[in-house]
Amino acid sequence: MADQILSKVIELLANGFLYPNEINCSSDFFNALRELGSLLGIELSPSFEPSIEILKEEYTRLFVNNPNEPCAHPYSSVYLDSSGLLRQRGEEEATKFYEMAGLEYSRNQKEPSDFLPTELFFISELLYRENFSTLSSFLENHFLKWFPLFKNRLESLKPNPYYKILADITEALINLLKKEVIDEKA
Amino acid sequence: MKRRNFLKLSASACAALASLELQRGGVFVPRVAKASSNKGRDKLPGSLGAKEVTSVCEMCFWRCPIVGKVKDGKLIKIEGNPKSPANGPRVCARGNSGVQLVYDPDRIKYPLKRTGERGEGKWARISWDEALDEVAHNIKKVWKEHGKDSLAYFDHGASAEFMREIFKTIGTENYTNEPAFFQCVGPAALAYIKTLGYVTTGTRQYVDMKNAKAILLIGSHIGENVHVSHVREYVEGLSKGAKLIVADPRFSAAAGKSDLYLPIRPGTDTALLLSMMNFLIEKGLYDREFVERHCTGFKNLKKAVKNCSLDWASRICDLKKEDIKKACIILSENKPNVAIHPGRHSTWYGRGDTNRHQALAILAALLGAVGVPGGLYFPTPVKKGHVTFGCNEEEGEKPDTSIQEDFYPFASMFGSPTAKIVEATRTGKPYPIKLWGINGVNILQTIPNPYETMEAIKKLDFIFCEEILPTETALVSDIILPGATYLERYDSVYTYDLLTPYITVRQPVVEPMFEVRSPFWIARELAKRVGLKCFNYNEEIEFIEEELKGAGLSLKSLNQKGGLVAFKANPYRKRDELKVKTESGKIPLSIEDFEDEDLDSVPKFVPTPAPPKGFVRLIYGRSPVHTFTRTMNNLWLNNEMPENHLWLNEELAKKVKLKDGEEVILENQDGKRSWPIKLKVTPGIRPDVAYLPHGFGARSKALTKAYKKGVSDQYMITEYENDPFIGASSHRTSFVRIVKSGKVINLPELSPPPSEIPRYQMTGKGGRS
Repeated sequence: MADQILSKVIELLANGFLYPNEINCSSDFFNALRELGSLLGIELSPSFEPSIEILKEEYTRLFVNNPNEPCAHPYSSVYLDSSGLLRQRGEEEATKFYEMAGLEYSRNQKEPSDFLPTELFFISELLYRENFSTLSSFLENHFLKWFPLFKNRLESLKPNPYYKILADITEALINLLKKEVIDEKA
Repeated sequence: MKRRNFLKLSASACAALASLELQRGGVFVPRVAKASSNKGRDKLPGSLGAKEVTSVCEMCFWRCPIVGKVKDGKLIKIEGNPKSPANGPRVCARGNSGVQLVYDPDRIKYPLKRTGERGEGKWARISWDEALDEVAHNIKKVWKEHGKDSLAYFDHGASAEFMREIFKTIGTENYTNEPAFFQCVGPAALAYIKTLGYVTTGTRQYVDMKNAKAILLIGSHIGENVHVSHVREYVEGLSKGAKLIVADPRFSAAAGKSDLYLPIRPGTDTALLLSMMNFLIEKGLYDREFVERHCTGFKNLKKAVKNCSLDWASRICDLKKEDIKKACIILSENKPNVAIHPGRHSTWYGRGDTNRHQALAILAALLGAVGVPGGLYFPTPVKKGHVTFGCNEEEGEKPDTSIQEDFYPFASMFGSPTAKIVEATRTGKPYPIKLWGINGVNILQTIPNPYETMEAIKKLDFIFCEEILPTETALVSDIILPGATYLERYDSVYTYDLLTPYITVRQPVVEPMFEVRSPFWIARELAKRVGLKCFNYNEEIEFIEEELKGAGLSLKSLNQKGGLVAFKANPYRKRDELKVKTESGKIPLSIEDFEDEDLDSVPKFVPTPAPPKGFVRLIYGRSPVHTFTRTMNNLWLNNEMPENHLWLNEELAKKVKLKDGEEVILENQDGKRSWPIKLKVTPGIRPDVAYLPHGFGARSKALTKAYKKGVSDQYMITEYENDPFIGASSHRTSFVRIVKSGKVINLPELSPPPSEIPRYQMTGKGGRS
């Protein structure tokens, strides 16, 4: 049951990293995030409900194209491959894990398969399926190799608190998972 | 905390989680084990075993046929198409690096809308519907409020051709073929159209260096300016013993291979050419039989050049008389198999640019070097089906005062002069221009005096662009439409009509990334929203099939043949069959059309002002691994040459205690200062010029690999003149001096100009004085 809830929580975070839309900018979404934060000791002000317009501008600045400084590109290849290009080592690694779990990235998707929300959806899927061996390996050998670098880059851009908190909660939850599915197993 | 503690999430949170319609569906699908059809080839290392897709390069505009190697939907490697008789399996450094363009994280991924002030750098990603509706709304609004000519379109390259149809259909006179003509080849193209009856130099140059016994290059720095088949033919010609004569103020790569190097004073090339003509005529060293049979206006020419002695040219050009004579003799002894290279980028000094290239064309004619091996040759048209998009082909009614027709007599052959569009936008005269569409060109790094261009941009009601990368121009746009790279799209069928003719097609090597769209799709969707009857095809493949049908091919059959079919060339003409496509069928050595417009019918030397005291002339050129500003953000190419250095004469540098490798700042005649740049102190450049490889010094921070690397020559070119024939803008009429540690260093004059050459008068105003 806990893993099913956690799966849903990770799915929530994945949605948070998608381009702002009616769902991830709804009061329900913010409330769920707020509650999640409080459970992890990460505070989100009760009055915090940024407008979708502000978040769209901020998302574009942080993750899409930034006219003033380098983005925090939400793709693992940018951090894992020395070239810093898209669709390199990070994507190859992610794809192998998807295959290992019997999954394939849908061809209808326009983002590269190592897109942060996609990798979070994958973690959610593994939790839902209770496939801890793949999850353990995915976190240890892939996700945790780049997510901290991404988060550092994001923080250097002084993001809107919404994205700061999303990243903090994601980090806290992934570390929790790491502890339980990797460290404890060891 | 344990993950089971998540059970502690409140009932309301769990309910909220459950009720949220989170997106997830469709991201993953169950993996279906597929029988491998390639017998494990996809497991081979590198590009071995990759799927091969033929296409056409566009890292520059020479458009070499290529093969893209693809594994798991990812582009691994690019090679030349071995079927291509022009480049074979070879591509240049840029061609190889197309892989890095597709996967550059800086690229424009989605349609973007400006959300702050223009140029402030605040954007929001929007949908294609929103983006196209917004552009269409503004086009219709400006069109209705200010008339068709208040819309202007700056376009360049294959990606821009479809959208040009929209502006043509609206009927505006302001589409520009920019920067191809008004900042580059326009004056040369006009000179050759009027002399030989065809665009001897445009996108390509019809000059047979491969079979030449002697080659003359005036400023062309082949080898630094790399177009694969062109360079191959040049190298083959040299390897077979062709004598090479190079006139250039800088000891270029070509100069390094020359038999005779002429370190000419900038701005005096026409004087050199006139003296050579005069010498050839006086000494009877020209091809008399060819001139009598195939040329007109010889008497006028002879009269016009009769005072252009070698002594005169020697003084004007700062060259040794004996060297000019030697050049004449080399050319004469090897006539008619001499390649008088027509040049390409010709917008150097404004006044005299068309005449300089007219002089080159005349020199070729005097040597009989037309339609013969080793000379200028004729295109071999490759048959293909004719396609029209159903757009309005009629020219719109011209306004009372026409930018295209009323200022420069031959401009309308190429479009509206860019400088006039910028001026009209700034001043509202002769009429206001309120909307710019930009496609395939970074206008702020192309048009001289970008400060003026920015002033104009600020006055626009609306500006949009179709772009691949976040260039300086994209940064000031209100809407940015993300275009597909050449590796992600179809374009029209390409034919190559040079010495090794072929037909081929650009087709997608990989699926488009993100939400980028092909130029055809963008233009078609925009036309619909503007309410224009335009583009009677649903997708590119439909008109490609029609074009190929005209060549007896289909896309399938072309691909079965390796993506390319070659043909036999017909570049030469027997002397008794030679007829050029001018009115008389002969080559006019004196052009009446020019005389009719009160312009010189025979080239005349018009001096360009010499540098003001303390300054040297700023000249620029190509880097072999870059194409303008387009490739500066490319990982591999940036790694090869991340920044430019300023070439400065060794003796000059010594006089003012400047050292090789030192970092300095440039200041131009209008007080505009550059970013810091390192000096390359060398004897290989004249003391009255400084040289910058072009395209560096990106000012867009969104180009993360190119930003602030080197110096942009364009931002130092604030003084320009317009060529009186077509209104093209000059690029070599600005001057620089050095600033070191905050102190201005005036540069001494080591080769003073002769009295015939006036000195530039400082106005301090910027732009045209």
